[in-house]
Amino acid sequence: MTAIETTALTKRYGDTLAVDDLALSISEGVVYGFLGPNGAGKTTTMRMLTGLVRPTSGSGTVVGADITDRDGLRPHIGYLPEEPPLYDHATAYEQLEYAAGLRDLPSAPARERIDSLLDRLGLSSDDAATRIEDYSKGMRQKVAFVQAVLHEPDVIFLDEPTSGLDPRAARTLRELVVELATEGTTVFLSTHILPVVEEVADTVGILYDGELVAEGTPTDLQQRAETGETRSLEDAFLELTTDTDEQSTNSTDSAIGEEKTDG
Amino acid sequence: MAEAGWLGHAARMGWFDYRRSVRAIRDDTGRFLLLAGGVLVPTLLVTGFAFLFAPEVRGADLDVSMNATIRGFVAMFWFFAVFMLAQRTTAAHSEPVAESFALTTVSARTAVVGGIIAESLRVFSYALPIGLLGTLGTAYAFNSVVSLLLIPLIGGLYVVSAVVAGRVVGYVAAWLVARVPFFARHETALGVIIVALFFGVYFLFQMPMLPISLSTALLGVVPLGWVADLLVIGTPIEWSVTYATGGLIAAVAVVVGGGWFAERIATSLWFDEPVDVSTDSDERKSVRAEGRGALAGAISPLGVPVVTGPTRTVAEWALLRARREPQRLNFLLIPVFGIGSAVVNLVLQGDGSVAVVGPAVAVAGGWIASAAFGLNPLGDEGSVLPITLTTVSGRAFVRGLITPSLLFLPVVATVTLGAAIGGGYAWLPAVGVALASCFLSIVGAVVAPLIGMRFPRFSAIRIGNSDEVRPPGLLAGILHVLLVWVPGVALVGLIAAPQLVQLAVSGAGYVPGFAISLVASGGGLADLAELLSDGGAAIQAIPLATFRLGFGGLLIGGGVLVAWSAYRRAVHQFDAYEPY
Repeated sequence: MTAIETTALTKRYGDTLAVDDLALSISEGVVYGFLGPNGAGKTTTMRMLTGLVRPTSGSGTVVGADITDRDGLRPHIGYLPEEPPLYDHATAYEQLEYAAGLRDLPSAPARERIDSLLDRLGLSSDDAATRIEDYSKGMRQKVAFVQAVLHEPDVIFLDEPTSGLDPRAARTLRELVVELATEGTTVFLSTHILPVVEEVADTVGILYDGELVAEGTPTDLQQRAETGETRSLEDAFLELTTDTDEQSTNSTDSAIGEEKTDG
Repeated sequence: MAEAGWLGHAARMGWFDYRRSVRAIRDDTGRFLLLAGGVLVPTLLVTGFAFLFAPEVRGADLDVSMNATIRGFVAMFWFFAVFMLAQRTTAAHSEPVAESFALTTVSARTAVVGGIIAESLRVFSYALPIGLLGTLGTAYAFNSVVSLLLIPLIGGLYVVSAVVAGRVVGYVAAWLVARVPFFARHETALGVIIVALFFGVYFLFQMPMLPISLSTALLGVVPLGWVADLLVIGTPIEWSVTYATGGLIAAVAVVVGGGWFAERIATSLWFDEPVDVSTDSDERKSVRAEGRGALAGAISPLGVPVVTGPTRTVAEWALLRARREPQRLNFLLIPVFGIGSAVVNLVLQGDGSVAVVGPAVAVAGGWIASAAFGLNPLGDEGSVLPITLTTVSGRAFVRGLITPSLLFLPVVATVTLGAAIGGGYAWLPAVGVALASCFLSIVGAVVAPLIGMRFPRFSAIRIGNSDEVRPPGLLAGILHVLLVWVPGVALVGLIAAPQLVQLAVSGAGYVPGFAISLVASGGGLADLAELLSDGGAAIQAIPLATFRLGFGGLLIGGGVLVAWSAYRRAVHQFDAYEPY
């Protein structure tokens, strides 16, 4: 069954075309790696899919709920934006119980889940009873991740989720992402850390200048790379997100360089 | 140690900071208009005085000499400026702008002096029109060329000395809060006491009609007031060389000595570790272990009864936010101080004016309860706003914002009842006034989220060292005050002084009618003037009991309708809000 579906999804800010005619079809339980250079339209796409921004044209659904119907979307989605959305003056316990209360989750099971997730991510009860203003960036990221998955959403949107995490915590988070997908949650993962995508994503979509320029499994995309001794997702990404003009200029430069070296 | 060329760096920092604050004011229309009004009104007054009196003074044979009262007035104004500037320092400037950049790039001395330069430029901007007029007026009236040079120079020194002293006091206060556990724990309470004490003493000097008052001449011994003698050099006003020299030395000493001390205290404030007074972590864990929620435990002993689900959670959160960051409620003090001083004035004028206290408490108390929690709901969310929008429905969010105000209804009613009975009202009208205050609270609380959402404040105006604390926008505050206070005064007035309200309402016809009749020479305008005057007369002719019932019903019915409409619109506004 399809978890996320968009048709000709377009967002314009004045004269700027942020997302152009985007067509996505993402199945349930899939980890979808969403790649693109800065300014490609990834965050705008996520904002449209989470109902925070209305599309200029086109349509989309998330687990059957129209993306312009925020009430319909709310129960199904979790969202972790790039900046951890937390209140500095609260403790992690207070913040997470607040999020659970807003979702109307039963208190006791919500507390158990909070404890379990915090424990899994290495945050002690001492840490969780401390105000967030005293947290490191990584600790904030962990609490924000717990907040996003607390209600066991059908689809979770993660924007740079491993940002600021130490290698151990980043690995734990990657494992959690895979676990969530195994349990049936669809994970829409936007990141610049390509090895993370290579490791956890089932499907990768590459957005460039608001357009989806490639989509497939990481292996498919690696095969498309024309350069590099060992083809990697990074090679594919760089080739797919370079202007044709720029590419030809780079090739010419490189040719000139070779000539000079040779000469 | 300061780096080489620190003064040039400080000047550059100060200019950059000043330009940044000018841009911020330009972008905030409400704030800009308020500041412009604050500059324009006294400037117009001074212009008026200059036009009236300067030609009279010019050429007249004056026999005036500088005295202790004038010097005391200058000193009192200096103290007032220092207090206000110190408040600004603790509230918004206890750290340099872009602190981590500034303190890793320049020395503490540069940062301190840069801050002083920026603040001085801001004060000069406000004072420029009036200062210019004063200088030109004095030079013209006394035929004194020296004044053209001396007044700007000495005035500038006076301003800079106040800015430096304000910085020193502000840094010391911030340092005490950062280093001394007692001050850190009781910051808010101590702040309120200091403000109350300062204004208490200030009123003693300002209001000679008080039973115990102080003469401004007492402050004539303060050397900063002696700069008055310097300002009149070159005019026929007799001045003292001793006082003038003393004033100059004092002002220079404050600038140099204060700057030296400001650098030292700021260095300690910025680079040393603050004390940790967060001893309640264990308590928080034990609350959770007992099975109570962390959120419920955090607002204890307060609680949110009756309501459940997300509405209750939002209400608990609003209470927690106000408790953890009480600085966000500072904006409530401004109108309350305004009405408070007006009421004190009325009472001091005697003859039963104490009766005004009950109605004043009804309006002010009702407003405070209604404005405290929901006047900047989107800005309060800060970076969490996208998550809040995707987590909770508009209905639950808005109801949750209204609920905390309703929790304070018993307090508002009790205080108002006490004030009304204390003011000499019988039980029945006193209860009426108390009920009116509750009604105002409810309507104000329901209206607040819509106003706050329409005029949100997102900018990080730093209050109490927190970029997260965002007081409501100025326009939102003004609009809410008008919407609650104007009908509120009328409603309470219908109980306390119905004749006065009837007169005021009929004036809505009489006054414009009269004004139009002055310019109308017949035709449509004259008809309109007559119509308005007839309307006023008709209102005045209504029997008082009927007027009370009719106008009271109109106010209450109107309030209910406005509240209902505002609630629905606020829910829609939240549900449709796009944060990007």
